[in-house]
Amino acid sequence: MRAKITLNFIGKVLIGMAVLFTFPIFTALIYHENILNFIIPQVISLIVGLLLNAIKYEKNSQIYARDGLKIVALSWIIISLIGALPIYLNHDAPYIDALFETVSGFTTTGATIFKDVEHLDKAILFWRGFTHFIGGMGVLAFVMAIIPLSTKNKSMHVLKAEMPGPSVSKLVPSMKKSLAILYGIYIGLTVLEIALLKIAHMPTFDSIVIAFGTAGTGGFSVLNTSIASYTTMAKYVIAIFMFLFGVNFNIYFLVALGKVKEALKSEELKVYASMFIVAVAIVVLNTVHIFGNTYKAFEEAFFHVSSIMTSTGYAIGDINVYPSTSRVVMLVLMLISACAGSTCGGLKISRLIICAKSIKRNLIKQVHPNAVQVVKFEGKKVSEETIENTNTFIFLYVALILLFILIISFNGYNIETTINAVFTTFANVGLCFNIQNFQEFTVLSKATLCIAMLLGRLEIFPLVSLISDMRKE
Amino acid sequence: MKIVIAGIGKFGDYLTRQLAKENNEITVIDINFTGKEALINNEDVNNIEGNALDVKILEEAGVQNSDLLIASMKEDSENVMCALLARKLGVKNTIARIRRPEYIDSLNMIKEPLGLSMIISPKQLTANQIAQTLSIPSAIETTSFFKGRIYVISLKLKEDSKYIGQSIKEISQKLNGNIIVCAIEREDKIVIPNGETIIQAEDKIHITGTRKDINSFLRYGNLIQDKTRQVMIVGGSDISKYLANQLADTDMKIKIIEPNKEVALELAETLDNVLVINADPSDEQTLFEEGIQETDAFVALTGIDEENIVYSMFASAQKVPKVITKINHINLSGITQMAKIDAVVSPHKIAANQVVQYVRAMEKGKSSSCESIYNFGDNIFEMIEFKVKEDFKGINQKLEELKLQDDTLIGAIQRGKNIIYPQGKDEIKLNDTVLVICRNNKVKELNDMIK
Repeated sequence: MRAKITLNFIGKVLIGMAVLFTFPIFTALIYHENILNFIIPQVISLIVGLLLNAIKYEKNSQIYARDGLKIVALSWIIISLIGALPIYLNHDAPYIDALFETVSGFTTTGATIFKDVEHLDKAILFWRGFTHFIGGMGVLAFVMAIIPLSTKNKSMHVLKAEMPGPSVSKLVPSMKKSLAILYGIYIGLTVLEIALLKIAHMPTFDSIVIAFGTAGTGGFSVLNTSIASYTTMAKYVIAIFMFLFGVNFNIYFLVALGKVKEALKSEELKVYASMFIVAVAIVVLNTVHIFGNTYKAFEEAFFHVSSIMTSTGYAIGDINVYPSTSRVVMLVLMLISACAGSTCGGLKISRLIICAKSIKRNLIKQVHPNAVQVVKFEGKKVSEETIENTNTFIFLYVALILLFILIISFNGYNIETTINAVFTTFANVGLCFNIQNFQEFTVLSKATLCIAMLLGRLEIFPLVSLISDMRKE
Repeated sequence: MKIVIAGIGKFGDYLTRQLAKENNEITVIDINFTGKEALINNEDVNNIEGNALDVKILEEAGVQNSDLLIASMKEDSENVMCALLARKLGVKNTIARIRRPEYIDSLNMIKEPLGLSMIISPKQLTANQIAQTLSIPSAIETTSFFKGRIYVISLKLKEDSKYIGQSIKEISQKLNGNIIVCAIEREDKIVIPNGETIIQAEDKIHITGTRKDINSFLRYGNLIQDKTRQVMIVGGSDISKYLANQLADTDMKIKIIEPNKEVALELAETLDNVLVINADPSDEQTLFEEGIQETDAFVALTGIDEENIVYSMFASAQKVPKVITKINHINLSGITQMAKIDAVVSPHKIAANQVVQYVRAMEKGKSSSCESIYNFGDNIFEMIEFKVKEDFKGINQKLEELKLQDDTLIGAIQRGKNIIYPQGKDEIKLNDTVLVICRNNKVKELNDMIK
């Protein structure tokens, strides 16, 4: 049975999860807080993980594409369910709220159900930040990087299902080495950010949690005011790092290899940077009269555009003061988000480029029916399969947004808030106009938004294929 | 080891999988990966789409930092050019696959100035193997080790065989210990026997020994078959040409049946001492007329696997003592087992094994270098020949004191000119050559076989 190899793999993921619970336990020990909240879920995931890992699958079974999708979808659901336990066991929130918070954490959304985060235990605050850090690069990627796997388990199908972007490729032939390089870049940048935040006079605990939130492009903070009460330097450090984590990590790899010229040639990077500059310019022009001076307007616009475009969701001021044009710009940025191969959510710029180019090709074909045109991206031919996949993805993306808007509309918020709530969760941003937190939503809405966040993070296909598989059975 | 493989056909695909199993870092290049996704998705390799004769593509694949480039594209000339380019970019070793028989001699002449480490010709290797199998007609498969000094043959024991019901110990005693039964294939399973194992009917056994000792084993068991005198080959492919050339020095009479007139004419032109028949082998009258019932060996070498299987089944039904079938698609091996075709040769597999062996030998700084390698039993087991170097941990220790891994056996030891059939009291000495039988990929260097 193929289910065996799937379950065996999920067992490995749970063992990896048990390892990760050690970090918040340490935090709880340092701050003399209740460690039982983390030990219980750790023991649960360890036991279940070991049991599943003991399942023997037949020697010649392989992970096929559908198994890869299933493994990823199930793993994410299971780790969310277990990851919610610490918050629930600490009596901070009912289970559905805890689940919402955890899904929001793992999917690096950063939408919270807490009105007041400052009263939470340090360990819980750390755990929220840590879920961003784990979820940003991917849980299975982490497991595949650390746990010894047989050749059969090094399936590209799993990596493809979890890694965001229209086409996933390895940096070096060995999957383990590729993942190690990616994690190296990821951790390296995070450590650099923590150091810079320390220089900017941020307390150590805050700088760690906020660096995690930036690295995973999540957005959970440790203060109710998000980032507003830190120094100006800290704000700029965070804004710049949010932008950096929105860049395709392959580019950092090229830079590390000394191929800076090649890295700067990246089409996606150019589009990303230009969109960012244009968006900041529009928002500054649009808001300069509100803030009274260009410097303040620039600081706010730079931070918030960076925060929203990379699907992070930190804020340094009241975003509700922005006029319509700025809001529309931000809503559009939310949906598009940043580069593929980064930790961001949303549609990804590379998809947008491929889609735009294929549309251009089809328009030319209308005029010259016999024209032969090849869609190129980053100097390479894009296969018809990738184009088709990209366009299917974009269609599904829009269709699901409409469906979610309908479900959320039952809460009775005005249309802007309803649409925004869907955008912000589906694109894993977390920042929402008019609402501070998601506690007031109905249980149905919270569940729907959880699904929206997972769909957004895993880029639709894994969950959809899981559901269609379940229907068949 | 960093390896770049240019051109993913059947050979490239099989080779990539074999090399990936051994934890090499592999990058594959092909013009088009459509239909080859399975390889990329299931194996831990990187793929680059593009022309492997384009320097940019080769650089992207990291040829300049690689240890080995294997060119296995369609055209021989492409492969040579690709190897040359890669060499210029700084790859340490190159292997080019060559198909056309007439190129091989020419290339061997300029191999060194071109910087080619190895020329691999799957067809020639296949012909070698077939010729070897024909030389010991009782065996289903025959391979040689220690530069041809010892043979490993496999044979199926029918119910009337003398050896059935006897233990390995008894058989060994009768032959003064001059033979080693190194593996038994029994109903899809492979057993590495010990002294107590009892031979059963329908077992396929693999035995190791010198030519002389194998002959006494066969003679004692009444398994000897008459020498092969008449060989019927169906299909006038390149392999047929090689095979005919190889068998030219023996006293075998060779008949090639080729339906295409032009091909038949060309064969008749290039091959002496071979009878070329231009007729359709799919007509059973043709085969009867050419004496399939009298022939000693039947070799199916057409370009189509299915045809080869059908011809071989027909030949087996006509009680031809020795039937050999060429199969290109390795995935069909399940079918050939069902069709009870025993001797199957697969050019890609044979050639890939040669390359794997070369790659293993490249890995330096190990206690032993792999000299030769042979896969059997559906690739689950392999036999490897090692040269013993200083850092082998078991030097001068009695074999019974060495704790060998499960399913591992030493099939023979060569010391100077002597062949030793190892017993518990024997030792492995420096500069010996040993033949190890083990599970696939378990023993990469000699020290791996010790627990």
